[in-house]
Amino acid sequence: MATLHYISIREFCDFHSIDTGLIDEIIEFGLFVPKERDKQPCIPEEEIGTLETILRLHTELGVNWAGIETILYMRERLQQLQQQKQELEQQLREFQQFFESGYR
Amino acid sequence: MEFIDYYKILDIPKNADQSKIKKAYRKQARKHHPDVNPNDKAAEVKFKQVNEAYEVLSDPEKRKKYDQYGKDWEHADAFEEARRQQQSRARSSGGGQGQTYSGDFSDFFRSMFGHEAGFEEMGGGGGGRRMSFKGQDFNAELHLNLREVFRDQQQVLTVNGKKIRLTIPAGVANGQTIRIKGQGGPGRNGGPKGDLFITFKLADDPTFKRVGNDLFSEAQIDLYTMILGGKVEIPTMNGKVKVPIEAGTQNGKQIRLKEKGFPVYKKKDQFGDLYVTLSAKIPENLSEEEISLFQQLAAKKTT
Repeated sequence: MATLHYISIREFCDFHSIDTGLIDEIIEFGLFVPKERDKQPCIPEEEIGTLETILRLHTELGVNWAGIETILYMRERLQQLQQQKQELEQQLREFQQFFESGYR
Repeated sequence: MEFIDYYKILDIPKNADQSKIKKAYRKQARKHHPDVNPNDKAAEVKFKQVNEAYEVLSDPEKRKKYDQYGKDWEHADAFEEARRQQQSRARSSGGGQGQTYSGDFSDFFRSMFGHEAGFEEMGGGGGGRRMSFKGQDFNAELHLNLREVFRDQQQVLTVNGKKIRLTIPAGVANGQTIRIKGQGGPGRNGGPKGDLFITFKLADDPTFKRVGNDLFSEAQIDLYTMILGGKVEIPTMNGKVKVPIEAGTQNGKQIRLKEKGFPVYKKKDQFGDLYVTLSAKIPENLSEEEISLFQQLAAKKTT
């Protein structure tokens, strides 16, 4: 299954009708690191979602690159905390059941 | 169908001008944008409402119509009339592109402005989420019994009409989410597919309670074995095991059966423990002889 998985930056920009200069800015700022494929800068498949998030934050909310970097970092932290919270809630549920059912 | 107060959603007065509306919209959008609120359904709903409100109030024509009918919503005969006209128009104008954007608007919006109204504006306006190159991620819930995740499970799921075969590893936790790559919505123009996220909801088992990887159960043991000791068969999730019972075992005693608990997620051949709480089964329907024997024992009681 591990073939393709790269999209050229040109293709990506065509689809979103954006100038490749915008991606250059993102790369310049260090928000995204492209991969070389056949001497063309490409986007690995896993990172398309993030790149699209960056674009939306930029175009829909007018956040600048520094702000986007902060948001991405906080998003990651938020998702970690959500995950942790879910695990703790699960454990709490289990222990509640455990005590309610009268085990010692 | 409920009246939706778009002014309230954007938190602006009824006489707000366009620049104020835009400003209010931007502010709300920044706060509730899905990219800033990952995995937050409430924020997503709010974001859609904010977009819908902006869609109406930023368009002078729509705003006028809204203000007009909105004012006397209580006796909305005129509204009903307009709605009927809208519907017949929507029908005659054909199927549209089958995009999902119409789903982003409330029934209220669609009955006032018709199904098509949303589409036209979406492309250019600062409205809803843009089309993505990567396909949409899908979320699904899978309800299983505890016993079903004791072993690796083959399941065929139908997600959006497509059959997906998947193996659920033994030992998944209640509420755990796994990601299945490339089983979401189709990408566009050669973009990759979205992913499928499956959250497991596990129903309790009547016999075994699960705490982490350990299992807890209760077993009734024959009175004479509790007193005199011996071997009994105790059910586990994986068949019965023979367990020695000490002489003079008290009610409520807990024994630990090592590695007879739940499989550890993605750790082959590792298991939690099974804790069994023992209690004596008091014999019923005794014969006369048994009763007299018990009476003899009672008479001999020393403590």
